[in-house]
Amino acid sequence: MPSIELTQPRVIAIDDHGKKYQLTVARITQKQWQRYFDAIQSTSENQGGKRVDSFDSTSGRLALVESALIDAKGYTSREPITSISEWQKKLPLSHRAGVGSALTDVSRSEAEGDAITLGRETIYLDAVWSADSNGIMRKFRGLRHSFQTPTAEQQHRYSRDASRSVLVGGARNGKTRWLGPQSTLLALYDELVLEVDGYTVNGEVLDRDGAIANMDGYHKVAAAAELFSPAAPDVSEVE
Amino acid sequence: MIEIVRDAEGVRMALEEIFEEDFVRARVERESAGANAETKERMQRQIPKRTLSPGYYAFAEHLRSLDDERRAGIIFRVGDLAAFEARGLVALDRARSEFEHRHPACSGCGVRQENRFGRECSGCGVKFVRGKAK
Repeated sequence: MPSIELTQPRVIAIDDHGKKYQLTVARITQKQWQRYFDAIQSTSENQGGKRVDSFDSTSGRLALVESALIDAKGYTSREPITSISEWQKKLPLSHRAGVGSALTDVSRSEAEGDAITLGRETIYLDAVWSADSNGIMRKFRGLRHSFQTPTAEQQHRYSRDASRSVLVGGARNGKTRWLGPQSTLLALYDELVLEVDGYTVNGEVLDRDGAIANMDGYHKVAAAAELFSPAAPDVSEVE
Repeated sequence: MIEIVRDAEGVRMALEEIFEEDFVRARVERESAGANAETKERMQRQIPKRTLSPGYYAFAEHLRSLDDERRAGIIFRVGDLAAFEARGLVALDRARSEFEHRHPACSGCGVRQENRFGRECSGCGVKFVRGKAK
């Protein structure tokens, strides 16, 4: 099964009006992911007794892409593209947004996994990573993250930080801006992870320490968040 | 801009609303069992609307889960709770006392009453005897 190589720069292929573009992104550090999470504007307000939510990660995502891009191919310019001042910001907005979407294209996997071992929690993710040598983007399926079962104290920390927010405006008509539990999830991932499958570092399979040191920050948050999400019960309609 | 967890009075109000909401929802579900969908929907409208920004209810629900553990006998050490959680649990106790004062429980069956002035229990139908003020 092909694995995600965590140390290599990622190449995001974009097809725009029949033309191919390739944008290369350096390995994204946990600090860069943290800045992205901090820039997410997730708000809720009460409108006539109903909760109305809004979510906007656009500006944070663009800032992340612009800070991580190291090369771009397929564009015409008078001089080498990377020698142009602030060349990242001169790329089409739709291309930068497309790269941002690819970097954050991580979801709970629908692929069938192994039976669960008691005392161990296993999360499977699907994710887009990088274009292959033919310039084709593929989705990696069933990326496995195995964890210890969280303790009551860890559950408590998650619940506390997921419920924290600031109020913009009045208590009744003001907006709740959620602070987000991502930094807690990053810490919990490192505390709880046991092993991962589907990732390599310089071609080597990762052990626990390797996963803590090298796992992509967005994958850490996505996997740890699934740990605390209730599983959907298998419900059928009554005939 | 304030951090919601530090607005103890707002958190207490959210808790009171949640207690009332749960109380009315339980009654509506009891009374609408077996009713058709239209009647159920009409009765659901009796559930009071929330009035505060949603962050208050999220923190209130977190406090309720801590409180469930506390009532189950789990003992928290001082360092286990943030100061705002400890203050929130105090607000929760106040909100619960006020709710229980508004909706006293029947000494026979334990069902909480709509108000303090009913003549008989809405659960078991037992007649309430009122003591005369001296």
